[in-house]
Amino acid sequence: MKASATVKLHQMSDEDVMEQLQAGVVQAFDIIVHRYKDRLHNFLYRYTHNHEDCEDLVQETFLRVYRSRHSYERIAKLSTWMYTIALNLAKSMYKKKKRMSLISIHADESDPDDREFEITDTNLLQDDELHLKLSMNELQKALMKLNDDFREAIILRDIQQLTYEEIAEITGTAMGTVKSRINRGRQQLQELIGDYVHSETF
Amino acid sequence: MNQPSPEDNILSEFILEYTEGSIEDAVKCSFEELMNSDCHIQHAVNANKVISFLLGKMPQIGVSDKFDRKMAAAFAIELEKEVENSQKQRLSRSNSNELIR
Repeated sequence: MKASATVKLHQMSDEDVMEQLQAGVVQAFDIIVHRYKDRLHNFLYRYTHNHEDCEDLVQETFLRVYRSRHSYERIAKLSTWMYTIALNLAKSMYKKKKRMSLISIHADESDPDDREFEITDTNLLQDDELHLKLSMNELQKALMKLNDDFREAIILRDIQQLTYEEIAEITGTAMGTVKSRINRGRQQLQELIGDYVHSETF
Repeated sequence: MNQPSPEDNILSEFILEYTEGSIEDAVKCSFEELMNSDCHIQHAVNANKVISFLLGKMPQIGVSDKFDRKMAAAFAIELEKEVENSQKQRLSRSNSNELIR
């Protein structure tokens, strides 16, 4: 494929790139992988809190996208379709292994949260930064204690920043249910991490 | 799991809209009145603000450096399988055509 054609692919919308893949342009697959690998990984990591399985799930999501490329219809956003595939894969992994509840809640050196923590808000004082980090560690643990339906809705909204409409489509539920799950899930999280968070800090 | 009642849904919608600052002005005052008289709603609004703030601050965890290489290898195998399958299909089609003749 010529360099100019690759540049054109880079400039296309997700849906146009997908159309190219459907037409047999294999390079379009690389563009999709490049655009979504980190986003999907972040979503799956927050959902499973299992770093080992996450990359395999991301890889499998992309392979499923390729295998099912002809069933994708442009009426749906590509991102929504991909999140749906990723979520379904994570859920079936969860069912098969049934081991997420056994995941250690202790600090783990291989835990990306410990390796890659980063605060961009320079206005926070050092104590507040420490407090924020502790709160977030507790928050991830609390996320894992939430009911699956609440956890997926909250991650898609607050971490992946998707719209309520997109979340409703991905999870196959009504928008009112999505909003209710987000509201109730946030309240449960607040109750779970209550001791670690003082709202005055924020 | 129990489905939320329509009242739950309406209240959730107001709480989310209020927290995100997208509530209509006409509704805002009445909602604030309701909130000031009900500690459960106050608690819900506070939880929504704090938790969404914290979740928004969580670091983004991307794939490792090894991912691209592993993905490329898996995709190459996928393409090989696809070629093999289409060759098999072609072969079986041509065999059936031979038999028909």
